[in-house]
Amino acid sequence: MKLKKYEDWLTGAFFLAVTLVYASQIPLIKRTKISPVNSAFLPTIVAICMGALALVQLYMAFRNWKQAKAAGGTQEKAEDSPDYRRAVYTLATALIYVMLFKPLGFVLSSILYLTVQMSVMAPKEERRPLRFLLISVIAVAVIYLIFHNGLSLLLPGGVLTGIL
Amino acid sequence: MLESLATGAAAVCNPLGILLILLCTAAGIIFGSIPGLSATMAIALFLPVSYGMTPLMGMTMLVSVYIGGVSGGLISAILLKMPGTPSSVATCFDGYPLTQKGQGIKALGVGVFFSFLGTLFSIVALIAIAPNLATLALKFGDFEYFSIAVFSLTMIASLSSGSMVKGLLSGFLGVLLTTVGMAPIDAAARFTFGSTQMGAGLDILPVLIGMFALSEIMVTAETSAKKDRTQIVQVSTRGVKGFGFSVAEGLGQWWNALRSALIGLAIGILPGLGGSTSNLIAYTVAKNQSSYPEKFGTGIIDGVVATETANNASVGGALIPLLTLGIPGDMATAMLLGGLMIHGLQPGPLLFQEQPVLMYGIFIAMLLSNLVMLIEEFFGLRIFVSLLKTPKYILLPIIFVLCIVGAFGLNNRVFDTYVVIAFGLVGYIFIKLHLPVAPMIMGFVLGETVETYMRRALMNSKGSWMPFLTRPISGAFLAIAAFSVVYIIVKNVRAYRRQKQNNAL
Amino acid sequence: MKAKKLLALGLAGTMAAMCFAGCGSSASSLAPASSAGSAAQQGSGETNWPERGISLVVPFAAGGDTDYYARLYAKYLEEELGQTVTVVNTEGSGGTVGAQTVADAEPDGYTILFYHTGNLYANKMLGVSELDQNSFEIACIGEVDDTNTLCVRSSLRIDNAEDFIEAAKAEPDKYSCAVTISGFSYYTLCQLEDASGMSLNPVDAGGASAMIPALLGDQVDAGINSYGVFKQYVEDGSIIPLLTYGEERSEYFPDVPTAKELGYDCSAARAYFFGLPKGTDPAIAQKLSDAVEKIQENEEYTTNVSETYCVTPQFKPYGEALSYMDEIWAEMEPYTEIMNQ
Repeated sequence: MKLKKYEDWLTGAFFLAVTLVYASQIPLIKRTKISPVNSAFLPTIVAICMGALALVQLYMAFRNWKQAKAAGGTQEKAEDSPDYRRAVYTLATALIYVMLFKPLGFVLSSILYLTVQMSVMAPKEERRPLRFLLISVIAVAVIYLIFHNGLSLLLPGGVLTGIL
Repeated sequence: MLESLATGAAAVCNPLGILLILLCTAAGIIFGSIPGLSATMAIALFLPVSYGMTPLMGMTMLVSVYIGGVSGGLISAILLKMPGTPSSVATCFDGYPLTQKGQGIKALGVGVFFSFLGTLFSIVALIAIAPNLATLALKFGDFEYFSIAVFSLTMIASLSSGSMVKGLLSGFLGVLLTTVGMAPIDAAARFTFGSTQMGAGLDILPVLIGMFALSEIMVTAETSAKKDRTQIVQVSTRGVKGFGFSVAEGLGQWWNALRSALIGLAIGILPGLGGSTSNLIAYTVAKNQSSYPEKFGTGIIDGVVATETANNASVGGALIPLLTLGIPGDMATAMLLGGLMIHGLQPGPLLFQEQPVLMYGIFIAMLLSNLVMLIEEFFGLRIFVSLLKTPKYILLPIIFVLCIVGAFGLNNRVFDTYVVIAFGLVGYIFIKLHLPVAPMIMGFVLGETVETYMRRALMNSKGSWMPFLTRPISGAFLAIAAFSVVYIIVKNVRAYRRQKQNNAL
Repeated sequence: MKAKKLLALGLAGTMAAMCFAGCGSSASSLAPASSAGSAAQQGSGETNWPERGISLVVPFAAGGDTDYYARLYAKYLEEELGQTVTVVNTEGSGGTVGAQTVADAEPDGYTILFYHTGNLYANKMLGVSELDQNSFEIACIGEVDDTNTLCVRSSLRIDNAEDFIEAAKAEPDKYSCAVTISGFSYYTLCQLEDASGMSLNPVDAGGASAMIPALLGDQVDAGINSYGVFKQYVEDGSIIPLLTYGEERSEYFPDVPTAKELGYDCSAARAYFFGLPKGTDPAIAQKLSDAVEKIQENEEYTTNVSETYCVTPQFKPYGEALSYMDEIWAEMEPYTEIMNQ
């Protein structure tokens, strides 16, 4: 997927989308009179500026596209094509980890996360799930003991509450 | 005063004190260096441990953690492109490129050494002229804070390398994010979509972790599955003596360092602004005033010197209002305040007179901790670098778990961990679209300050905007801000015209 | 070879962690597995609670006065209850986020809220939150702070309340007063303005640490907060207290008249309470209340609080605490409209 060509368009679209969602919520803000300038003031300014800039960005994308067409197309360098799937898997793994954090508890969810994440990121040849599991258990144990027991940073017990 | 310092030194330099300084500075460095755990969090965790000790020993412990923590952030910023604490965000910008060029040790050495100088500068200011500086700081009211924040925001423009529009969009996104939650002053709910959790707003730490750490992990995941790419960039320690940079290089940075230290000190003194702001501002000022601004961001030591001197100078700076007026300069000092109060001591103008030994003892403890930090980090340089020999696919997930621990431990809510995930995605999008991250961070850090002080100031002036201009300090900052905006516009217009001319030829 | 290195590192780390854990908390890690069930249904009034570590939630950032009281209590509660008590700061929305977190928590007695009626009710009056004293099982009240004081900066050259109120009545909105708009101090300002007929210009100050520099630096004319916050500046003369909101003059600052003395029907107090999630076993609430009562009898504790904050520790036990809070709410509620202007 050649992102570079569409970069400017996507940037403009992204920010325009953000502006629209943001602006839609502004009317919901309670306007009190205690302060000369109410709580909707700054958001309105931000929405206007961001919207304007997003449109400028889209315009520039359009103009660059026209210029590029006139110049006879650009050369696309053959890049080392990154494996986007792994980035997505990484995000998904992290999300599931966070969702399981409280219900399963820190210890179990972290061990699960580490093992899966390491497997996702490692190259096929070096993927050794059992070794990862062992490393995960040790790492999680160390972290748990230092933070939960040593420094009183309470971490959710989840399923293991009362046992640990 | 020398006499008092000597008494203070005698009080601190006992076996327990020395041991505390050695251990706690190290603990602070470790906390600072792990993204997700910050100096503030370290102080919060060590606070209960300090109750059982005498006030001096307790404070020695806490300031050592503070100094170590603020400095430690540079390690992961330089080696992993993940700021260990919000105070080291700008260190990534030039620190990581240096590592990519194989000059990681040099970057680390520069960072450590100038961190030391920054703290030293601010501690000396603290000891020598604290009361005077504090009185000066009192002259800064809501109007002045607003103008300073506005001035800082205008510098966003210079942080956008490349497209100005993208930089501004990024900056506005940062400001937009600070408006999520309860509004300042009247607590009106904004953009909360009905959720109490969103009502609390977004904290800088989870946002930073997501934007820098998670997005970086995602990017690494794209290529880490290739066989020959599992190591993090090799940092060669062979042939590197001392701190990794030459005396000539160090001396060449003297003006950069001094200026950054002053910026850090000034921002630290102002309650409400701290290390997380000063490092960004110092970096931007350094870039603007340099004769080779285009090199910033490609990996030059100037960038690292500016940020690390500034954020460490803010440490001493933040302690000035705390110890002279009893007003904390930032979150970390607010906890130090709590630590003192639990011992029945109220910092303020009277404490200096009533407890000189304690006060000067704290100063000595800071000086010693600073020195210890320098030594520990110096010897630790090579250890940190060797930790990088762990394959990426093992190291990064473990770091992420620590990040989640930190995000969760911040307020004990799972919501903050979801923020990390969300901003991991945002950060990833930023990387893919080549959007600059620095303006967003700057907008985020300063957005709330701008709004809060603007509204408070207007309450004070009953709606009149005049005092912003007529009050000398405030007016000065706004004038400089206006001037720099005009200057940047003119510069860009000229460059644009020149480009058009070149195209026409 | 790489595996061995990692394993060695892991073992070393585990050993280090064990040492750490050793110097850390004591009983919490080895609790019996029955703790989840035992806390809930024990109608006999007896309970084994606590059997593991407790979280004391403070809905503000570390370093403030609520945090201070909580940490002091935590220290002594550990001795009384025999388990670790960890203060957890969950800040946001002037206290609402932390309070909501406890309201939503498991009613097993291991998550306790330490909060005060000042912000709890102010937030409800402003519509920020629906929470009030009935959203929790109120175990007891640990502190009552009735030392809110109106102070002015010394450069104003006014040293008594009557002169100030006269001057303020003569020129409405001329004098600025620093308060926390979405909080308790704003409520107290509204009360006084209503009773005396004067009108001050309210300026939001955020909290004590912003109010002090504002007064010292002559940015505002007056400020309202607990006396303890102003104490050292009163002593060195830079801030002048005019009147206080207690029912009677305080023994710590007997020179400051009360509003009632001067003929203004105002009094305001903040009660700091221990709250449990609704549905918690009453036996647990009783046990907590008894523990706090014991701490109040500890002289070390009372001296610490009174010296630091000029507040005499007050205690209201389980049951009575709820009615006390109802009383406070009855006093505060009528001002809802004024505050929302």
